[in-house]
Amino acid sequence: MTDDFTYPPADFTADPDTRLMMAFAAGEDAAFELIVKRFERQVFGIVCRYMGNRPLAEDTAQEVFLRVYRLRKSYRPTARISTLIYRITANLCLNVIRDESRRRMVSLDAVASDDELSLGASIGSTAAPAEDAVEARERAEIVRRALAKIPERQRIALILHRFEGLSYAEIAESMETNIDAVKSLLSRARASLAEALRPDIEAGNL
Amino acid sequence: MGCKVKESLVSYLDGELDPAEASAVRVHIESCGECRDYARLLMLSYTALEAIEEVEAPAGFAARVKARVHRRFARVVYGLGTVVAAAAAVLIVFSITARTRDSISFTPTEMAVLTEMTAGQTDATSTYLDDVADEVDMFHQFGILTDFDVLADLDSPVGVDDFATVGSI
Repeated sequence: MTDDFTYPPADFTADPDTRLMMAFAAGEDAAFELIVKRFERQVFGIVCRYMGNRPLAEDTAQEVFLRVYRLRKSYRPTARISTLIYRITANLCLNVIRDESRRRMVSLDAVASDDELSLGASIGSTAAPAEDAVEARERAEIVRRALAKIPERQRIALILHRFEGLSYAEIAESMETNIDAVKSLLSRARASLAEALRPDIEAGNL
Repeated sequence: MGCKVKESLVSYLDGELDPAEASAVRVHIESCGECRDYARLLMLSYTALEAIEEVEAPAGFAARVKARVHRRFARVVYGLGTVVAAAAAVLIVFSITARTRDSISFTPTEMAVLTEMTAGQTDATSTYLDDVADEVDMFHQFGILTDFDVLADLDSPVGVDDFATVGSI
């Protein structure tokens, strides 16, 4: 829970995305597809950067929207729908990675798959000439590996802040914690990231 | 590495400190080389995340979500129908057996209650299925039950994978 309590409760019904969810909850099935299209880039982006594995990311991102679909029966606009979607995404990321780690321990499969190794090519790809594209892929791969070293909750907080532009308060709400905890998560995440990238920054690779 | 101000540098760079705190950190950075270097490293490493800035959802993502929703929730409805039909069948058999063996007949009031019970099965069964789904998801989240593929092979009338991934947020 966040430290920020407001009274009277905030009114989210003016938020266009929240209104879409309200329409869906009221029985307008077409609104669900609009919600998916509105949030697919954000959800997939968070999951993909967090997991560094595109196929697993797509499966998990789809699962986020299945849970949104299931919310239709109980949905009340007590928060922005974007906050709920970020919350579901964060929870699923943390759970899926936990399950995936367990599966890997059982299968003793410690080697990164082709999908993971090729992720640098699929995220951060821009329409650039061949040489620049290779360099861009290498930089993306360096960053992806550094991100993967950051502990899970810190990584989620960092992704929400850096790529989704969420404030500390919004991250706290999405991760069901308080602002001080978010400050601590982000501070440690940035320290881990800095240390992981220090050799490449000092070597001029980034 | 022991400077206490380093702990506030991320909040300072993010603009999350109040003006007085931010001013104190700014003054400190001007006189502390270690914090200045660290602030620079923090900024450069944060900027480096640009390398993974562009991520688009795969083509056809929304259509695949829609198909998966349809598959999953259609299977729940199918399962629900099976359970309701089974409950109705049990009721009919019970009714016929009771009438033939003991010559018991239902009064209009009893019939009304039975009819209502049968109709009520839909809501009751729906609630029951939701509860089971939440419990299985809880098992899943706590790692008690993790391999749902094994259960799926049992060919449950209500798709096991319907339960594997649903749950509260």
